Amino acid sequence: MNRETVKNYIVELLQEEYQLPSDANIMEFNYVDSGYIDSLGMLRFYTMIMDEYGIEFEMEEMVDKENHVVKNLVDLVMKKLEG
Amino acid sequence: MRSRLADMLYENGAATPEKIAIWCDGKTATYREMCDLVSQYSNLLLSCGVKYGDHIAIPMNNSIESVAIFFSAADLGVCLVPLNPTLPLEAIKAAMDSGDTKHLIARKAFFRECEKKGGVEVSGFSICLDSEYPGAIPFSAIENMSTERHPCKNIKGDESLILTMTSGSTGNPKPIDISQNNKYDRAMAHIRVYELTREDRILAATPLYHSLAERLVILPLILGAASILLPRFTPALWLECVKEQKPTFTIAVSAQLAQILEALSRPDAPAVDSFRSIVSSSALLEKDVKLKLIDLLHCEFHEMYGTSETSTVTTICFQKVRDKQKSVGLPFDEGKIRILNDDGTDCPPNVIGEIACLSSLTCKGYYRQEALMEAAKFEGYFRTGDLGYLDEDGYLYFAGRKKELIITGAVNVYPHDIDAVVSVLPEIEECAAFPYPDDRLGEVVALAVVPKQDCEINIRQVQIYCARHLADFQQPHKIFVVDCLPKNTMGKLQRMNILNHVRELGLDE
Repeated sequence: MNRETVKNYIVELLQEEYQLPSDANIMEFNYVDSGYIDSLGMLRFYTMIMDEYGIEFEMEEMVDKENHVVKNLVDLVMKKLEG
Repeated sequence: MRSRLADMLYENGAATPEKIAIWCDGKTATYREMCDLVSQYSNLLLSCGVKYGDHIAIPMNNSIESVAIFFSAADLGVCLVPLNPTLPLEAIKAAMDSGDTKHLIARKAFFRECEKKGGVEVSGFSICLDSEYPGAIPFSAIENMSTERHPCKNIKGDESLILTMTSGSTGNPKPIDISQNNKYDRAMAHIRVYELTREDRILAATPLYHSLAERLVILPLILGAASILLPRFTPALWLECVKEQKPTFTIAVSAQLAQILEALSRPDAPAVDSFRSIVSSSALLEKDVKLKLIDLLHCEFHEMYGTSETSTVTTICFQKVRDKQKSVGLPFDEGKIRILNDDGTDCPPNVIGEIACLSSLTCKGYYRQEALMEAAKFEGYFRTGDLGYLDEDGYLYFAGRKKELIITGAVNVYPHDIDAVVSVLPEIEECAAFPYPDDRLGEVVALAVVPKQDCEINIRQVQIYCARHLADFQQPHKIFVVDCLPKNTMGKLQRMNILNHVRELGLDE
């Protein structure tokens, strides 16, 4: 699984309801602060990623604000896939 | 015969073509552009073979295109079934089935996720809004469509225009059937009561698949005012939008207002002075929150009471009626209120009973479930399932809920839907969802689960199971493992006592 594929999947998932802004720096995009995923949708969002890649997230990882930035979430998924 | 909604939009298009009709997420459309978009959308639907009376499912987001399709549907005599895009597939299928939908308009992510889980079948066409998807017509085809209007001549006004789904992930959701005439009457009542004019800038900040936001975008466009549509809600986005777009009127849900107050109270918060009037809906605001908001927003502050079935029934302006601070107001001219005892007799003033409403703004009924609406009525009055009382002056006071319901951020969650999904887990003997107080959302969903004998419950696994099978707004925020659920002597679950029960057990710490 390469990093670009993971990024593309996450970006597409974030666009379930809304297009990401065309001028956004996607990798630095904070999907919680910008309202794309809210507290109610957080668990469902992470579960969809878990199901797609057969990985597990800890609850602490889901609430960690660092992981609410696309780049860091992609890094986290890649780490789990490689680990 | 009332005016048709699309006629009113097109009349505004002719009268003020260059006026900004709508703003959403940094994009704007003038009245001329909006009319052209509606015509093109209608022509796209017609080219796909859509016919008068067809039903179209649409997992709906807040966008200018979503607003355009309301007017296209109104112009073609078509019925829209707006859906919450986060609903799980089973609920989407149940809603589409209950809404008798023939066509589907959705985003690529929706089609892809449905496909993974077995797909949804439609007998008509599918349109992919944001990209291309096999078997779906790309929305970009709209660019080739004419801007010439081809309204349907058969429209009487009492056809179904929108079926609003009551939240339901299992069984049969109740589609609230709203006609074009309903929407027109509701808009006109609000224009009169809140004295709205073409100069107003009307903000909608709730999802368009709920009737409140639908009303708040239809209303300005038939009035010739400006619609401001927040794409999604966070307090920061709301403040930024208000600062830039300077709305003069909004109806906000009380859970949003509590969050907005928090953001407004920060030292770096911008001053908000554009509002002439704000209405709080869906749940009673704390008096303290209300007073602080009045102080910070410098505008008239109203509270309203209503239901999706009846629209707004009562309203009150707090600056004008200072001695009724805990009331939700007097009925609109269109409505009457009764407070009913269990035996159907009327409660005297100041005695709590069930709030029942008779209003000309009431919906057509529940689509294809006429008996359910009849069962919900008593002598023509719709029994709301809410408790309240009237004072000697006829002012209504809300006193709680009779029906089992969780309201999280103004969204109704039916606890039975959650029970039905979770109870199939093999390690669970029984379970019950219940409301849990939350500062931000008013209430969130909590779940009490009783394990089967010799079984252990892994809370994380239950959470993940819920994430896979329930919509966002149905997710349990707290899960408590208990030995038993509180029940009465007849063995009936006492859902509203579960919170006390888990607190008595010391589990909620």
